[in-house]
Amino acid sequence: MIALGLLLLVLLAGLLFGVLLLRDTLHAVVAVAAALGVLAILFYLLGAPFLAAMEILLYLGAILVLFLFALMLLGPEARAASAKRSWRRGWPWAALVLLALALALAALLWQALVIDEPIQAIAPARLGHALFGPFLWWSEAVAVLLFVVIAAVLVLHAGEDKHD
Amino acid sequence: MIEITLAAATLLFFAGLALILLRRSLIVWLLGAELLFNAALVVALAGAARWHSPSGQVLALFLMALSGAALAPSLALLLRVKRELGTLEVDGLRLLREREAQDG
Repeated sequence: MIALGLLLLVLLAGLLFGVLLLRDTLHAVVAVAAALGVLAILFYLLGAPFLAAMEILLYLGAILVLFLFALMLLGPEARAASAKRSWRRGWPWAALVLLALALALAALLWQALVIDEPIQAIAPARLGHALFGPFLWWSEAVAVLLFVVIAAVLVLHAGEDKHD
Repeated sequence: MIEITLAAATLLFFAGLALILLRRSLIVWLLGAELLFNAALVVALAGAARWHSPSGQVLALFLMALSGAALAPSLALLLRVKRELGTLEVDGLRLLREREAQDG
């Protein structure tokens, strides 16, 4: 299982590196989708089968499709423009900061931890009991938040129509 | 296995931050924000596995809902920015200030 985990980690690193370097936004979105698929397998290995399914349903099925819709609405010229000038002004300084951060994170991970804890799968039923037991009001709050978001998007869209 | 998961979270965090700091396109920015959300989610799941508790998974589920909730209006705003300014570049957003100055 550790070997499979390491393989997934290497795959994830390669895909994320690809996301960073790919100039075409559509290709970057597809690479992120593949990376999230790898993450879903990792979640399953970590004893979270429900979250693995939700990662595929919510992230791959909804959020990344939303990105593809946005790309479609923006049209091909937006993609071409972002492919032509993909790096920000002053990016070498940001790259330097990122390099320092990478070294710090690598040092932290290097010293850290061997957590020798056996993995036990947490069944969806247990998660459901937690969601509708002690976390019931939080679930309701998230539901209200999602409703507010729908209203916000409708208001933004209505403003756009008026503007036209 | 938990160490591997934490390493995956580190990779996601780093990639998300790099996308936000280095790339010019706003839509790639949002993609970076999603990767940052995923990094937090992976850490929550690692906690759930470490302490054998469903609370970490509940937190991860809420984070998924929150990231979806954050993304929808952001994409709506992005389409609006494209319509108003005709560009999707982060550097182009300073036009807001210049335009305001010209109007005033």
